[in-house]
Amino acid sequence: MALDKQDVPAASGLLVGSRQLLITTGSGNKTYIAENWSPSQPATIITSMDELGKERAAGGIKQPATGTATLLFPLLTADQLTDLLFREFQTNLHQEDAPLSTTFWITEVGIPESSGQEKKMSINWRKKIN
Amino acid sequence: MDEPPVIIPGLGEAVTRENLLRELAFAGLPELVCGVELSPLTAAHVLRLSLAQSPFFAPPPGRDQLLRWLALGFITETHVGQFLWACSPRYRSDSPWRRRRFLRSIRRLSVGPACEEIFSFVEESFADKPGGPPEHGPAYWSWLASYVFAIARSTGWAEADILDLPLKRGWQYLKLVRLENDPKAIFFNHYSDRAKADWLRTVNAGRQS
Repeated sequence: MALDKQDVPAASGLLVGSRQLLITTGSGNKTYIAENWSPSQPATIITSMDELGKERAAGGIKQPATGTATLLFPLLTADQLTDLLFREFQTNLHQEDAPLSTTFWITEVGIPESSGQEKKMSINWRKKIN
Repeated sequence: MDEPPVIIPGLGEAVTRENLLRELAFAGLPELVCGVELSPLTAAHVLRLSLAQSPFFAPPPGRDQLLRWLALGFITETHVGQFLWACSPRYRSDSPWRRRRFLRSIRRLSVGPACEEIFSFVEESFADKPGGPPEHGPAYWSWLASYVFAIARSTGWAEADILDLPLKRGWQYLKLVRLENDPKAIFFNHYSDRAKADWLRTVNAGRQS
């Protein structure tokens, strides 16, 4: 998976590198912007041993992709924030092993922080296995 | 294939402005507000003006609030003069005649446009102020204590030097101090985040209707 690039300044206002997340919440679909999209691909390593306890072979099983991101959103109520937990979402940016239709879900939400009118919150996400 | 990038109105200009302001903060140039030369805003200036109950800091108003105060006559030329004098490189606390001479030199300024420019000057100076979780409890120390302590702990600089540090630099250092202590810290970009949030509001409002 490719890491995000930084926002690229452009007179046209192109948003490059920040993901849009389309999150399905109780009040309908909402778009958010995710920064610092940081994916990881955990794997379970299985090792087989011979009779003498020496490693004979090892193999890995890929686990579903997980990661972290920072969500930017306009002012929301506390209820709407906690409502994000375990919500499913899709993103607009392509990943090498994830087609556009891939669904993710939010597994953890952090404490929201604010600066002026804007709020941000860190989330942990996980690729959904159908 | 990637989807075509989204166009967010004003985002490019906002990012360019942020980058420029951050670099200019280190150029050591004086600032011009209403054609008057000012020193870059420091924590010491903010303290001086807050103690004098300057309407530009007590509490930090939004632009709409400021314009309302202006329309109601709560902000007068005295407040404008007080602000400009406090931030002037010619400021001396023990020289009334210097103050009088300075105030005479700015007596033709119009209050309305001057307020707008002062507001922009303050907003730019605070643009890189780190965000934080909402504060629900009582305050146990001044923001100045947090500001000085955080920078001093990481740099070893003296209290007086930190208070006289331009805020535009101080906030950037503070962000780095925060990053040093918490690699997952959340950061804000005052102007480009606002452009993104405005765009999000429009997109989500369109989806609801």
